[in-house]
Amino acid sequence: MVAISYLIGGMVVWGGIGWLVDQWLGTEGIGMGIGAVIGGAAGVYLVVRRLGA
Amino acid sequence: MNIAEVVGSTAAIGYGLAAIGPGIGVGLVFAAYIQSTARQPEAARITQPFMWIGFAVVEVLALLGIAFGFIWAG
Amino acid sequence: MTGQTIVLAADVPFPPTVEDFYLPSIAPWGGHDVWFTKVTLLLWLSVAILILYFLLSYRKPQLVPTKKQWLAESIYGFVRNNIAVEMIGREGVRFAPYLTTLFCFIFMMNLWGIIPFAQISPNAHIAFPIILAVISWVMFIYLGFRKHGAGYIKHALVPPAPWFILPILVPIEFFSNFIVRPFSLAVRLFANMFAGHMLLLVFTLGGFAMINANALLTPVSILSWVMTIALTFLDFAVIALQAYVFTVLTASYIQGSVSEEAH
Repeated sequence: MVAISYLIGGMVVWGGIGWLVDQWLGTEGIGMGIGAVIGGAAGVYLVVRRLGA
Repeated sequence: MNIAEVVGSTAAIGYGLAAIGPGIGVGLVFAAYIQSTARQPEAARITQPFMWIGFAVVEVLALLGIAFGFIWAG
Repeated sequence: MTGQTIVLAADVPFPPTVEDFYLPSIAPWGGHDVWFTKVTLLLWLSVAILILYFLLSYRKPQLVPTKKQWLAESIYGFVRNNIAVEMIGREGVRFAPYLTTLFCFIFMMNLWGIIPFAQISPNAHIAFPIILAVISWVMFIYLGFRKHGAGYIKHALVPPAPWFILPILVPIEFFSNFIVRPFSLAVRLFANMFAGHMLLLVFTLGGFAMINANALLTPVSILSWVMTIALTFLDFAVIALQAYVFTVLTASYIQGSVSEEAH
């Protein structure tokens, strides 16, 4: 439950920031894609720190 | 001449294909945890953190599949 | 008009819709723009039943408890020992009264979903779960600030990590601690009650729809009504489980706020 919440939370937050960057620069989906990857990686890192060793 | 035509987003099919790998992976992670707990119940506390790490690393692939399906839906 | 009232009439509107959850008013009978409906009545009834029951069963407490007193005490003891102390630790006894009230209230409100003639849970309207979730939300934030002072912001938002990753991690922590938590509490309870009511409606009305469509389908209709009874028992399990889950999650959020180490 906590793990899923961190993973989805990370992708939603950073994907949303990436979407804002897309709107600002006029690119289509590049910022959002990078944001989703960063958010997913950060979510994995949070799960590892909170639940892992 | 069109023999067959598919209408709609191919991203749905793509996500179906992309979910196969994480599906198998998550299954393997939990199967391994259950098996190790069954073999050695007192090790459950020790192996649990590694289960969550493995789960998070695998599950993020499936979630990225959903996100990319929406971002670059064609 | 609602699904339940039309059942007695000949033609049944088969796929039940969200409109079926907006019941006609009671006080001026049948109107749609007045606020006193069956849902309001059930809310007042559940509050009244809970207050009266606990007052009456504990007015003259005895050393050897009577049946009523025993039930009231075991509900309180269950929540205190198995939820409050289990999740929060020794100081969880402080929160046991609130958690017991929450558990009993949600359980009673959910239970109306399967009691004959009531047959709808007030929690199937999202307004009630939202208020309950907001109470839990305000409560764990307040408790966190009272325990840690301004340090609660650091306690809740800053994970143990090197400083250069923190800008990436803090927004995620904020999102998952302060936005996803109340949202998932409210939606989980609401969706379970909504789906339970919808499921019973589909199977009951579906039986009538099939028997009206063709007399040969009568066995299928009867099967559908038998399924309704089975689903009522399933719904009872869901009702108890959701009351328990809501209380346990509230307790675990309180634990995260009042604990010394980072959660």
